[in-house]
Amino acid sequence: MKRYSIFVLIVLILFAVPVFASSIGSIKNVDGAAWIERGEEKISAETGVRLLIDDILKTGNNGAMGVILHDDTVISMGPRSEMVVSEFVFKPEDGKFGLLAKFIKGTFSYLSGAMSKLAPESVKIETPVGMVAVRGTNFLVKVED
Amino acid sequence: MKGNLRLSCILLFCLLMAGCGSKRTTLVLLQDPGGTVGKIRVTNEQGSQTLNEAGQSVVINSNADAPGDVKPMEEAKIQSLFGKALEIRPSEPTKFRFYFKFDSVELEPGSTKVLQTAVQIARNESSKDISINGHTDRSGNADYNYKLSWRRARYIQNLLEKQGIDPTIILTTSHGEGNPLIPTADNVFEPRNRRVEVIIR
Repeated sequence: MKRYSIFVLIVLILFAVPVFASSIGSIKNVDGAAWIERGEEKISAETGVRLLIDDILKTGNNGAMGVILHDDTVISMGPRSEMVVSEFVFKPEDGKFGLLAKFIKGTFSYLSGAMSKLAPESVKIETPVGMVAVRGTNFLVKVED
Repeated sequence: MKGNLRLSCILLFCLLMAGCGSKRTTLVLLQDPGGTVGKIRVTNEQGSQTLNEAGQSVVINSNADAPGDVKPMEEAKIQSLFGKALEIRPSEPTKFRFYFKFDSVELEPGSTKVLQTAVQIARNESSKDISINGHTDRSGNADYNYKLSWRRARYIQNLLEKQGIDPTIILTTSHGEGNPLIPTADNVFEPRNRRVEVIIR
């Protein structure tokens, strides 16, 4: 039993902690077809699934999903949408901040989190036709195919 | 002639590409949940445009076009374009604050009863993502405060786990003096910044 506990502990330290520590947020709401592409892996979107940097979030024809990042930025996507968070640094203890979300196609809602309050210039949203600078706020984006 | 044909083909190809992949983009600014209105600015190589009133919108036809004029968008149009994204949008996370005595991991008396409410909400919402962030005010140096806010955050984590909250859904961090509730100059005593925030998503 003791040996088993130690094994579990080692596994936790080796795997759970690094993934956990590098997670940038999690999925909160899902409707219809929605998934994450992480390298070769395709992960079905479910409440509580942790997001990592460079995960590609996608929704199908009737899909939709909503995520909350660790600084409480709230992003949701409607059907046939695709996005990537390619930079996320939220370290108030070191004064380090950075958020770059790429809205590739589809419909999105965006609600700023703590990052926009602490370091608004570090938040950028990229669309195929231009960059969006955000001053603490709430907005919608539609990118046509 | 041969050159002309090649040029025509290239032009035609460009037109087709522009037609099917223009990536026409629409931005709409909304009011913040708190009632205020922020600002967004969209910029590409052709120009930029700013939205600073609720309901304003701008269309950018392609990255070869400057952003268009700012125009109001009616609520009905907003719903027809963005209904599904708005419907699925998570509500803002619920936040609880525990306040601590100066330079201490001891809770202020008023904060002890916050625990039960926080645990109840976490259970009711079947939360799978809870953050515990420790904070200090700006009296003392930043390194010391980072460690102090760790101890505060761990203390609250321990209390939540004792109440049966699944440790694997908890992420605990220390923000030291870097994320104050009430911004102050350095070395200022501010009881409202000596806190741990529990964020239930």
